[in-house]
Amino acid sequence: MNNAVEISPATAFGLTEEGVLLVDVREPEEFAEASFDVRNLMLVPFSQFEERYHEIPADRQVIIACHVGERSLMATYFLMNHGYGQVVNMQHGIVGWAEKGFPVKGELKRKSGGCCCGSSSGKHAGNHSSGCC
Amino acid sequence: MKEVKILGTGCAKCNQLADAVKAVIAAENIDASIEKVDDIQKIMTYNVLSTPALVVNGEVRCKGRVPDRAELKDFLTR
Repeated sequence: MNNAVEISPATAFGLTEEGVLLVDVREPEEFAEASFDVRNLMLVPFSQFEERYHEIPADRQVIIACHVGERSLMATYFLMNHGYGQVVNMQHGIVGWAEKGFPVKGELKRKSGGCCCGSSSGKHAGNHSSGCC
Repeated sequence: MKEVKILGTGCAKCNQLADAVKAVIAAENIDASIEKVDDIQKIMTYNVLSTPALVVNGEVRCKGRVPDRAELKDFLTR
């Protein structure tokens, strides 16, 4: 498997300014608290990713992002495995994005990540006390 | 010898699965090697989004949960 292309929040911001689509894979409750304030944004929660990834356009460049960059890296590889050739992962997630001063809607309160454990059921996704992903 | 892999990025549930697998292997005297895989790129070679996942001889047997002892025994001896 090829390595995923990973970009910094600064590079991601520049691309979003050019109109590149940013796909946020955080859960709805995380999104409700704070979200990327960019022109082209799409929410595909990690807990629903296997069922909904096909909603992401395969014919254009997309940036995948999450809270700290781990769920999004898994999602990036998942898309690569499904033939997506123009997908990149944004390192450090919305936490790194906000730390660099890039635009966020809402207030980012959580500093630890969401969880990839058991996410296919959705029962454990967004369990922020577990400290994984 | 069975080749058992626990896929997970190191959270509590991943460790629970690893401990449970080790316990069943010991109790049932199963000839097996166990490897914990926490590298995301390696995890994604199995195309598993939901962790922890259990891989036995290269086949993903379950993902996103910690099976009970009876189910684990089945996965590890089948």
